[in-house]
Amino acid sequence: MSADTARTAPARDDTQHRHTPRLLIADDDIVVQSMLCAQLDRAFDIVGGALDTDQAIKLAESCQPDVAIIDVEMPCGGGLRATREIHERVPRTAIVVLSADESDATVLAILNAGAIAYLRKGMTGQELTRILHASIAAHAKSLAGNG
Amino acid sequence: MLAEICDGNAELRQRLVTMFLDQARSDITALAAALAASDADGVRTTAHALKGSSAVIGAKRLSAVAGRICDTVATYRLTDAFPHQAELELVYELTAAALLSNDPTEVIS
Repeated sequence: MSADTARTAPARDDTQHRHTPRLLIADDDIVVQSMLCAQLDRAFDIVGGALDTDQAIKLAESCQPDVAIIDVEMPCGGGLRATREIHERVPRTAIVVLSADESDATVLAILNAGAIAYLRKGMTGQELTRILHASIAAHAKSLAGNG
Repeated sequence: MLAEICDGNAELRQRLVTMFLDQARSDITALAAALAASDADGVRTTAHALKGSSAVIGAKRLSAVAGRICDTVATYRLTDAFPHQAELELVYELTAAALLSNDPTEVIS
């Protein structure tokens, strides 16, 4: 898919995310992205949609999301590379890995690389929202503990 | 799943269903081509993608069949996936019919 299909929104004032957390969705499957957007757009400010690993890293740096959903299998390096680089370059972002297969060994590797939680494809909007909010809170606590 | 997401928005439902069915059809065609070419990685990647998109839209049966193809390719010989390919075609048709008819049961399980 071309880079033209990536969506982005300009970074906003820091006060914005106190009310609505900023969310980046990275998945090369446009159906999955569209469904996640429809499920989450009431609870989150969706600041970007990346279709590959390079786009995910770029958008994370430019949009500074509170939380990023990262698919395991994406072109240009996959979720593992995206997680490593976002974790290093944008430490404020809580990274949540997304997969259709919970037994996928890559999921564990991504969690070890800096993702804070795991989402299974097929969860309800309520479940997704709960996990994403909990991940943001846990990540913030972890950052505060490290700081 | 779809009903929860669309919350009565028929236009959104139509858009998502069309997008999903077009992509799933394309995935099934690609999977058949990969099987014919003995391309195990192509079969696994395509089946994995279909498993995920089907799960997200709530097409549980289609997702399960795609998942079986992933597991078969990972565990057994590539040719063992052929019976699942026929099942995939059938379940896709059932899924498409249910989604397009706005069946409240949404197929699918």
